[in-house]
Amino acid sequence: MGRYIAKRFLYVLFVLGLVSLVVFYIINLPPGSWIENYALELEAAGSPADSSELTFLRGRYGLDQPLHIQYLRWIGPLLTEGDFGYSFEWRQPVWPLIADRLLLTVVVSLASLVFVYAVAIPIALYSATHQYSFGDYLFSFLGIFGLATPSFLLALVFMVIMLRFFGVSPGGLFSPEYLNAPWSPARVWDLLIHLPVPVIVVGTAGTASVIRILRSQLLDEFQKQYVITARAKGVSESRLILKYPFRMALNPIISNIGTLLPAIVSGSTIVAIVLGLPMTGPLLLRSIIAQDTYVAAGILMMLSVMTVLGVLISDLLLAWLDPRIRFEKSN
Amino acid sequence: MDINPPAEPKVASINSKATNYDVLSQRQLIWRKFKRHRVALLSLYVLVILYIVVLLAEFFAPYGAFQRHSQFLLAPPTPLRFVDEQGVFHLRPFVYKMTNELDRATFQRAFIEDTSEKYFFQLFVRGEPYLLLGFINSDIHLFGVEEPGVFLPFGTDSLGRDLLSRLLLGARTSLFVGLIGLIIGFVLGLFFGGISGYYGGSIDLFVQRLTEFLQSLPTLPLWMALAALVPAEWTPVQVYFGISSVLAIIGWTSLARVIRGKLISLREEDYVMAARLSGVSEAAIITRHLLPGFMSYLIVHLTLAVPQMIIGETALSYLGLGIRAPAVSLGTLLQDAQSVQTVTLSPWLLIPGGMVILIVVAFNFLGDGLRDAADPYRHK
Amino acid sequence: MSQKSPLLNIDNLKVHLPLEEGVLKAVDGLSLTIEHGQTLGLVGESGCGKSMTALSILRIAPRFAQTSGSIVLHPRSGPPLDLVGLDAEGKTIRTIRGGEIAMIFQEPMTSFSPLYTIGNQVIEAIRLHRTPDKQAAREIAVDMLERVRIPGASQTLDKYPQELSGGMRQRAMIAMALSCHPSLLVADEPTTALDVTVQAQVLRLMRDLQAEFGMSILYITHDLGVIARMVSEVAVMYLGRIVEQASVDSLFHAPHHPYTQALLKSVPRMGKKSKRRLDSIQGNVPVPINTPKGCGFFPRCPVAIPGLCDRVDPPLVPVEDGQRVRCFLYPEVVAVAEQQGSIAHDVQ
Ligand SMILES: Nc1ncnc2c1ncn2[C@@H]1O[C@H](COP(=O)(O)OP(=O)(O)OP(=O)(O)O)[C@@H](O)[C@H]1O
Ligand SMILES: [Mg+2]
Repeated sequence: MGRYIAKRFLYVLFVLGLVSLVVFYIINLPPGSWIENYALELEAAGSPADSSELTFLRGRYGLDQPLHIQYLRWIGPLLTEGDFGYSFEWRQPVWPLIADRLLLTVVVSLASLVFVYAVAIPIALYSATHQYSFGDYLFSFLGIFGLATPSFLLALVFMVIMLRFFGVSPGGLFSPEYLNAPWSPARVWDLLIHLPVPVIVVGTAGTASVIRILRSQLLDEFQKQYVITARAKGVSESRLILKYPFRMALNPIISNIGTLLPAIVSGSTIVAIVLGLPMTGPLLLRSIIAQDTYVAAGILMMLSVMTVLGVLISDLLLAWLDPRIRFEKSN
Repeated sequence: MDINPPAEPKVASINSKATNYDVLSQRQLIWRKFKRHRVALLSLYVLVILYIVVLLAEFFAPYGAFQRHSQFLLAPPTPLRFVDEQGVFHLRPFVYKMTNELDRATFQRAFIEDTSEKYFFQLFVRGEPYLLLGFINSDIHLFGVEEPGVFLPFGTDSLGRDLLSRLLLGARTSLFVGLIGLIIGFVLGLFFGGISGYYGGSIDLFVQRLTEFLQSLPTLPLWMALAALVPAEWTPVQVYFGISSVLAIIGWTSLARVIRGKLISLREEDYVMAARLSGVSEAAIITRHLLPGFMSYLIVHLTLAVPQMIIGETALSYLGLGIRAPAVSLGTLLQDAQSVQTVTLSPWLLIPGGMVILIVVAFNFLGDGLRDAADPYRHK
Repeated sequence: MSQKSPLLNIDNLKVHLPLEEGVLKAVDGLSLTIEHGQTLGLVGESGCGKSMTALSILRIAPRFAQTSGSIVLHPRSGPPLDLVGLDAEGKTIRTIRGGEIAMIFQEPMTSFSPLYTIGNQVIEAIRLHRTPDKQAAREIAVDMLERVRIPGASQTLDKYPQELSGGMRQRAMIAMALSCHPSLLVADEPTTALDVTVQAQVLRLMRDLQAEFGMSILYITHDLGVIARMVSEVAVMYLGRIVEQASVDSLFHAPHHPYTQALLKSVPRMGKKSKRRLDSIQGNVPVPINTPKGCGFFPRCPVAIPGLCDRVDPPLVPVEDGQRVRCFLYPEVVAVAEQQGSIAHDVQ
């Protein structure tokens, strides 16, 4: 078990190295750069390009050097000092720019993950134990639309409904007075009461898919011999379902975190853009369009770190929970 | 009464199966079973009709997708009526003349029906000329109303362009970007999944790790970054393929996994073993036993992958990173619905969203139905 | 061994499964009595409803199954109880399951959940029926595992099912079933999945344990060889009902029903190799959906009486001392049918 964990950790480190490389190349691949555009803009405006500033930036980040040198100049400080580079557009270091937004992205994503399971598990249990009942059909029907509705569309619809019928704008994660306030218990509370809308919007598709998977898993498990054995022992139905089929169906659900988390991070990115939430999504979009390289690379890198760590956690959880995997890994 | 069924009769029964029961091919069996799945069948019809309609979008659309009705900016859908002001029923539907006025209280343009003028609904009206399927010149549109009336079934956008006409064109883009993305993803998936499942060993390990790696990344942000790679000066057609490829670059991984898994499990399947033992040639095993089991499985997964591509395209275009004007897709249409104010005042701008949902739901049902039909051992 | 007092009376049991293709009559009017201390064999081809009968006794047939008739249990204490009348998820039937009536299944490989240790699953049964105390339950479990001769009983308890061989697993299964001293053990093909030597060991073990605990066994199998070694009385099942019931001796020496005769012909005789495919009964096992009128065996029966067997369903009637048959070849059966009025004007 210890060896398995160590191996997984090493693998994750390797993956993260690869991620940084891929991310940096993708971000830098589009032709042109912010600096070039800026120089062009300055020239077009008639004022001579502020060459000293541009030259400094070019030199600092090795922008006229080959890409692999640029990569090293980026990843080096990142690893040693946690320096994510500099935002050309915002004229400030990247880290303070993205730190708060990242934190909120993590909060919203985790809350969505919790929401997905908190809603999906009871519904799946109900549907599977009441197969072909009205409730089962209703949830399946809703699930189909939940799966089919892109989250940005859901966010739009949500906004319209809130505005039309309740007269409130659902945008934002904070009330105006807390938007730029330092963290305090009151601000945390304010965040909490603003969370439900984005969390529901982000979590809907995931909830629908988890219900689907878990329900069919449970139905499969109900047929298994060991369930019948347990029933023949006189175990009560509710206890039986939780101890045998449910516990068994939990494994694929946990390993599903690996796919669910990237989906949630994707969803939260676009939902944040639509709802204008102070998360990484809007900043990422803007930095990609403006070719603000280090901001885009930093955000993409950190979002990937999030999902990769999620996969790691689900792997470890699974190994801890499932004796079969434990055996396989220790042999 | 058989105590412990021995191995030989199984082989025998497979051979006899191949000869006697080949009358109903696997495909026919699947089709027969599929037809019982009502919703899936309905979805199939919906999709077939949809693809035909969007292919012939210029004909089915009442107006040109770029034709502006300058008097009708953000006009709501025109009601089609059967009963007129006097309560007289007309068998042939008609629309009233529309006028617009500035509402002094809200400073919004309000569209009002002028009941003094009726324009009757017509089939095969002449209108904006177009080139159908790239080679048919025509100016006949399936329906419209008498001149000079306008019939805007889904309203207009902020430039006064008929939303239905644009919707059909946009749906064409989205439906085909999904397909092209799928084909590219399919080729990639088949290649990687194939070599992985066929060669096994370290190639398998490498491909496994690669797919695992790609799957653990957040899809949309990666798509956004990749979409930025599509150069601004590309033509709409190039952009089209560019975006399809972007979607496919990440979309192939799940297909590759599916293909690999199926290949490996098929290789070890009893009936393949049995066929091999009874001396059936390798080629016959592949064509007769592996491929049928495989194709149906693949089609199911392909069907279920299309909606992912379509949602991806829509999201990217919505963000302004995908299909760009002047090309139209469901995503670019939804861009008009970006601000809450606009949508609250002009809710018909969300109709393209309904179209996305319809398409995705139809593909999902179709995939479900196919899966049930293709997998005889799976009860519902 | 037998004291001739009934433990379980099954009367006209019907288990019907409403399926898309029609109603599947898995069990269709089965009557059977199991005496205290008796080992009753239930044989029949695959699909004739043996397992469904067993599951119905415990009321764990699929939920959509429609069960009617009666299954009266005479428990050790308290008045007789009709199990069919009980709520299938209620408390009463749950104390009977595993307590009064225990069951072991064919598949030792899948009978235990791979997620919990053997001990966890055995102790679960003991705590439900004998003692809520964990430590005491564990001691009972160790004792039971020793009795079924599992080496290293205490360590085995902490193992996962996948660490045990099939034979060991089936022993653990038996230990679990017997740990609460049931008065009836329903054994549904407990040795079919095991190889021959292990099979012999497990059979011997079951016989020994029966002597020790004094319980009744309903032994379900389609292996007539096993029947000969295990049981005193046999019931032959065809299409959801009993077609013949007799003591082992009479059944093997003078089978009455044509189906039983055909069944016996398909059994390996002494001296022949035992693992050979044997004469099979002509025709296929019918699927019990929309079964036609008349005797269920009629379409496959070599000596069927046309005009009678395809029209009227014969009753199960005693023909010789203790031997009961459901076939019109025997005048007694015809007489009873006439009495019941079911063949008044049909015959001759
Ligand atoms: N869950 C179910 N759904 C539908 N049909 C079923 C179900 N369970 C059993 N059957 C059908 O009921 C009939 C009786 O089945 P049962 O399992 O009792 O047979 P069996 O005599 O135990 O056969 P075997 O020797 O193969 O175990 C069969 O025709 C079977 O196909
Ligand atoms: Mg059975």
